[in-house]
Amino acid sequence: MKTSPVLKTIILMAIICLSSCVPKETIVPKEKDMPITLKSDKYIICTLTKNMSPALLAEKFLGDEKKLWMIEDANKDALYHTGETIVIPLMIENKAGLYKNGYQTVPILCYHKFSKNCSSQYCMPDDVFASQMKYLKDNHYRVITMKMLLEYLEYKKAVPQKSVVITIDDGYKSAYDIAFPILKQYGFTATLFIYTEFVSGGSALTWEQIREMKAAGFEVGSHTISHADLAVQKPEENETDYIQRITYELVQSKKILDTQISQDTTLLAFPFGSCNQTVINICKTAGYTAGLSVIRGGNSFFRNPFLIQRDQILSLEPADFISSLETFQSLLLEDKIND
Amino acid sequence: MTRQLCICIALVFSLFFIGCVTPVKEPYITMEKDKNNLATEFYEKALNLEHQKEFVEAKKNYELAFTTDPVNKEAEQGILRMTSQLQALAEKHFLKSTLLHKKGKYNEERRSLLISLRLWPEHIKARQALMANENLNIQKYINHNIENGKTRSKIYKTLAIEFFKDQQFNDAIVEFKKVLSANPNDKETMNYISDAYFQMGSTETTQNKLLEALEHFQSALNYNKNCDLCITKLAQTKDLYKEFHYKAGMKSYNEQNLIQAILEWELVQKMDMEYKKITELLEKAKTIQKNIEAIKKSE
Repeated sequence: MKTSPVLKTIILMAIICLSSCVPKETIVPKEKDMPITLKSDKYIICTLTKNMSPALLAEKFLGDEKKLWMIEDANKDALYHTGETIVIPLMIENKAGLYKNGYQTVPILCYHKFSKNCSSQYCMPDDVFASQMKYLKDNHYRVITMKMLLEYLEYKKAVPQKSVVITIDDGYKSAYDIAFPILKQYGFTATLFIYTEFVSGGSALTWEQIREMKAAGFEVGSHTISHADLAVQKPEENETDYIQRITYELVQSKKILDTQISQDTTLLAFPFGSCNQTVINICKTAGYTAGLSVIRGGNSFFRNPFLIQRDQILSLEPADFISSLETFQSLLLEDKIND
Repeated sequence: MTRQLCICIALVFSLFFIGCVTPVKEPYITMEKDKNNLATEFYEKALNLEHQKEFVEAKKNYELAFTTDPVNKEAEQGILRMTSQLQALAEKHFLKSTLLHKKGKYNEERRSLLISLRLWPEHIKARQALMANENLNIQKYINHNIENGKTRSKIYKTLAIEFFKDQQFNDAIVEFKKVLSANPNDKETMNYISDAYFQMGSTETTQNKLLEALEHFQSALNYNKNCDLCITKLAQTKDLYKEFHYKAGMKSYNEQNLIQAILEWELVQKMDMEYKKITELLEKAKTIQKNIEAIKKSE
């Protein structure tokens, strides 16, 4: 069969046309799919040429997907769809979280023991804890570390809006058996405050478990050696004995934690949340940079780092839990001189 | 031939229609237009905010306009204008705060400092004043809010009592000791700790863990000096311990296991040198053992 040259040309054209139908790789955005950007030293403004998540934008433009909150907070109503303009701040000028109608506060939740069946206020049932963590996730709270909070208190860096810190005191084994898997499930971390004498006791965490939690991103702070009330001078003690005992509780517990988990321990939760000026002075000399109490309330950027407030989560009522999550203090901060 | 040609042409056209060979959309085409629109949008918003005296937000929008269009002189001037405006206002509020401080109106002073920092976050003096005031208030704060943990230790006491009721005496003692550190004179807690140690000692006696039992009866007595039963149990357990190791030593001695016999009797002697001529028995066993070793060596 002989094919005419015209037919040959047409078939060739058809093949070329068909070859353009081969689907292209679309999973990983190629350079041409990246947003069109305009950049200054303070902002990147980009128009999305493709649907893109804030995490992907954070990774590309801020070098760390964990900084996605900077993009989310700057683009409240964005859907991150093709054609949308997104503002990416390269620095946060409002690092104090000050607004016309008030200022940002960071609540710290304080837990102790977890169990399936609880009979004490210091024990949190596993199902209630799981539902509380789900509430945080569903309502877009951002669980931050104590390190981030301290940088905020030092006026170095901003923290995400709706920031929350989770702490677990004493070092009960249930922090590993119950809380750890639930926190991991939601991608949250917490800070453990350990009193060293208790470690490896019957119902206590072991050093191995503490190391494992630290490796998973948890922070570890001191809760003294013996969970001593640092503000109480014993009846048989004179002032010198008292200071010696307190110094030992603070210095030795730090040394033990430093050695056992290879870190420079700088966080302290006062047992019972109690302290006095002497205790704070010894803390500073011993090398701590923060002290946490159990006085209810959030922490603004001007909170003294040795008087950090926390809410003990003792009630099982959802309403009480929600009341512990105040991330904003209303106060009129408008410039009235100008009016 | 003409028919074949028509079919082929129709095929090519249909492929074009279904979109397989449409030219690749070039998003960059709209770039210049978007850029101009955005710059205008940000600039107009900035002007509007400036008009409403929302200088913080106005500055931000001038900066966004300038980011979009770096040659936009008006946006650049807007930034400079807002910067000087905000700095001046921040300074005014800072000065106002110093006056309020002198009048003793500390809450109002703090509010002025916060306004100053909202307007100009790098107002170092405003931040220093804010922090200095917080530091001055530490003692007041401690006295009113923190003090000691007497009240807060009550929750630990509840937990401890629960453990005690569940006969988890070890855990109960751990929690009771926390309570005691906050309230060293709490007699009830001391009695609970004493009881918990006593219960542990009693269980250990039945399990023949006599040394542990002795230690726990002693602790029970330390926390409650009036515990007569502790004194009795301590004495009884000591007797049981001595008799147990005395007999174990006798058994080993009779089985000609002198080394074991010496070990057992030494435990008794450590506790009571006068018990059943234990010193004599030990000397005798040690002499025999020494002689046996000497014979072994000579062989």
